[in-house]
Amino acid sequence: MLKFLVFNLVLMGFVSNWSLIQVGLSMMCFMGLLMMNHDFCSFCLGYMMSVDYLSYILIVLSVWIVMLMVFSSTVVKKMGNFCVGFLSVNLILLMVLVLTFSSVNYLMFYISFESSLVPMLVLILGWGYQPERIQAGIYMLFYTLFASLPLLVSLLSLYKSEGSLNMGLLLSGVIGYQGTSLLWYFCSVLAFMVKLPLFMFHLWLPKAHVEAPVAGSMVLAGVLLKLGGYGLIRILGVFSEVNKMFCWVWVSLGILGGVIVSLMCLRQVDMKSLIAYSSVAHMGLVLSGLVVMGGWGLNGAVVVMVGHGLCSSGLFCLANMVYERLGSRSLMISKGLLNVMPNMGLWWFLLVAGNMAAPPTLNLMGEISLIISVVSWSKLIMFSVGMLSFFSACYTLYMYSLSQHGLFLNALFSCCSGKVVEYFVLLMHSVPLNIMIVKGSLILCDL
Amino acid sequence: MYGPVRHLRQCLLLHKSWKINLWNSIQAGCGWRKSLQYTSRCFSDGNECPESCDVLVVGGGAIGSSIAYHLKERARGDLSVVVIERDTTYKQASTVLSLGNIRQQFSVAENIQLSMNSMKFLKEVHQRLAVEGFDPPDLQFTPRGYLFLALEDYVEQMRENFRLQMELGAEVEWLWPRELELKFPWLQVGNVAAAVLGTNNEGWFDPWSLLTLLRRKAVSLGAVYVSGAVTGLHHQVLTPADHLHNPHTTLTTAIVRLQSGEMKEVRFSTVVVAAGAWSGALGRLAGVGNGPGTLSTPIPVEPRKRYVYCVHAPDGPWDDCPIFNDYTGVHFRPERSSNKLYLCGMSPPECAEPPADDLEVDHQFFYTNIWPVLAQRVPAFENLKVHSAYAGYYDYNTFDQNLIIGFHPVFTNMCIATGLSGHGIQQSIAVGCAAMECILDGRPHSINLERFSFDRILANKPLKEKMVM
Repeated sequence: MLKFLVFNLVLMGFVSNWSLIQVGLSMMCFMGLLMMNHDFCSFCLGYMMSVDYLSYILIVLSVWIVMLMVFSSTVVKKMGNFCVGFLSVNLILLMVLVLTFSSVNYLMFYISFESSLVPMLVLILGWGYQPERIQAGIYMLFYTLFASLPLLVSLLSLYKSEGSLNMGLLLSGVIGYQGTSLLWYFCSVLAFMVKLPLFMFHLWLPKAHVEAPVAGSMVLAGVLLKLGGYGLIRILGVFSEVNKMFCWVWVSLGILGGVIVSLMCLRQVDMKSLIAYSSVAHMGLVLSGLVVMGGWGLNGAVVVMVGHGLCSSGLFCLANMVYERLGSRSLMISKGLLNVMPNMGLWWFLLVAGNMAAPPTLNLMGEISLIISVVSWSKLIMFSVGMLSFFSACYTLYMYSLSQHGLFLNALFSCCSGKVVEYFVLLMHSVPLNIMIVKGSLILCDL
Repeated sequence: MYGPVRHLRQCLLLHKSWKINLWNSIQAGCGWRKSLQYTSRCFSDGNECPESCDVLVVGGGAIGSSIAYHLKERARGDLSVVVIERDTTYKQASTVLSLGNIRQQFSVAENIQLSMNSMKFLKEVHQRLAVEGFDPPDLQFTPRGYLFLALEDYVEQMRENFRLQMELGAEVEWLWPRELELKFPWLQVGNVAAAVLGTNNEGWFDPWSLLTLLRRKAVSLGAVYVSGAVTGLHHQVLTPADHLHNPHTTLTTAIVRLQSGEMKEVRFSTVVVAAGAWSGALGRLAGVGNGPGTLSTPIPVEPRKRYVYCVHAPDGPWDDCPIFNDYTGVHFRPERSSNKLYLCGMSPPECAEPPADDLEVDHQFFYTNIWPVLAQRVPAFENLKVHSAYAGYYDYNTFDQNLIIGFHPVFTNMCIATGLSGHGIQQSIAVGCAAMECILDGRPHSINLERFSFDRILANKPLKEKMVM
């Protein structure tokens, strides 16, 4: 992993030069993609660090999203709004994320997992637009911290009982499904449930997403939510017996919560809020696929995580482009965008198609796998999953139609239909989303 | 339960009794979300200025408050509306100094419709503008008709106006001189050739009440009123990626000087110019009137001083006395809440406009211009005495003395709603509705106000009222 970490550290030295950081991050992406071979079960071994197919995919996703974050934050550069600080925070966040995904020791994973909150908080408080961001930052910080302290206790007890916290060495796991094991299980998974977020613990997400600047929203939706999914994949193996008894809790909350949140999406007027709630619905489905402990579920979860990361991040970029031009994210005022920015209509549609899992996007492959895995666990859940998919298409089309179609405010003019850098960012979001389905083995795991 | 806790904390911070506030919080927590918003809004003192909003309404008079009310009524919590008013006492605002008359007799169809829609709203005001916890709305509306007189030469024009008014549903009555004499024996008919009297939906109301009601309702629905003056409007230029299209300019921020002297920046998506008589000056801050090309045409609204004289005439007509308008421009009406007091005034000719620097009253104007006409028309007014007088500003549209509504062609997020030149208070409700439709639907659709857009000023197509002011 030194190739990523040292590159990152060196880039931090050149933080005063915005273009150099942009180029450097693009080179890091290229380098990462070049070595995405999935040749070995476990590679890039180091002290407390090792990478397998899942970690590597998520590392590449992190670098990709952080690169696109820097490209889409041109307003920070133009306003001269503490550019050096901004780039430093982004690079620190990237380093922490790479450490998280490549750690093979649970405690190091936990420390990096918690550390990612600090640059995120700085990003929201420092570069957000509205005074409500203070409350949003507090919500995000305390929800995550409160839920992850039990995880720390559980990891320490795991160390005491097993003697090691290495992910590869805990294959026997926690035996028994009553009493202590139960408490142990809930303490461990709660942190990831809040991070994902699961329906009843999701209150921090709409706030944080809406109040964060575009870079913050992109990395939150693109990568930080996947930390929860990744953590679940790593920790569920240890608690497989207890999990089999209680996965019905998570599946119900995930799927039904997803349906409820999809209905709430239809009532949102703030574009970013709509996209934030849709993240909750998607992650609910991911969670359900994961906890039923099937091969299809695991693959589907990973594919949806990557696809959703690209898609939501792209939609946040688009919402920010509208906000930069029109000064308002409210769907009551920013309507008829096809009149104002017709070229952006293409990107809106491609990313919106991704959000509702329309073919040929990556989300389709993932959702199909997830639906198969969840339905194989219980046939009754077909109804809820059907409703989830249906409403996901509903609110996505609602958002597209309400923002794009209709009469624009006034006379016919075309307002800066898109700068090259914006096209680049959106292209980098849509192309992997639409093309990767052709070579699914890039993100699928052959178990 | 975060909402009630915050409410309680706000109350405690303002040193109010904690027991009452605890009870309020519990009530608010169990009750309607609306009342929680309203009670917490009541504690804002106009010195908090939000950093950003969706719609910024500059001007908190009748038009500005009406726009804020309509926007909030339709959008509720989905749109953030901030109203900037520089004088919370409204000392010089046209709204409170106006007579509060409302009529349907215009010669331009859109004006008739605007007044009729406003009247419809005023009839339902006790439902529409009711806010829980306050007294029921009461505008003290007194129904009286307007009486317009015409000389021989203008009978044809009046006939046409009358026909248009009847077509649009206004309830008006044509009076020949004979009928006029019978109806109003105190009137000296003289050489009047015809007259039109309104029989319904006309009268006067208290403009201060309307303003207070609109403002209170807008605040209860979530609009934020800021006491401050706009001192600058910044814009951003968006250059399209290809060089075939022109760079496009939008207004983005307003610099506001609060009453405490502090300067604040407010970001907005849409700005509404509802500054009444000072709309022209506000436009100049944005660059409308001192720029190249289309921007060289300013918003043609400026303050014009109009006098109102309160006279006492012991033998004057009282019951059934209409709101009287002579063809010379002199008008009077009884002041209902008093005994034999009348409010009268006159629009001076263009050449004799009084200076608009202050609101000092020229008493000579009354004796020279108004009294002779009054005494001739109504012999009982010969022995009147001037009780008091005051002056107010018209938001005078120098182009054609009618409403300008719609977005500016260059600053496409600047909505203009001003220029009503004396018939503002009566059309304020409908103009607020039209501005709301402009902002949320693209154009006013309840009434087709295309002819009143800013483009007519650029194309030099004035739309003046014929005969009536």
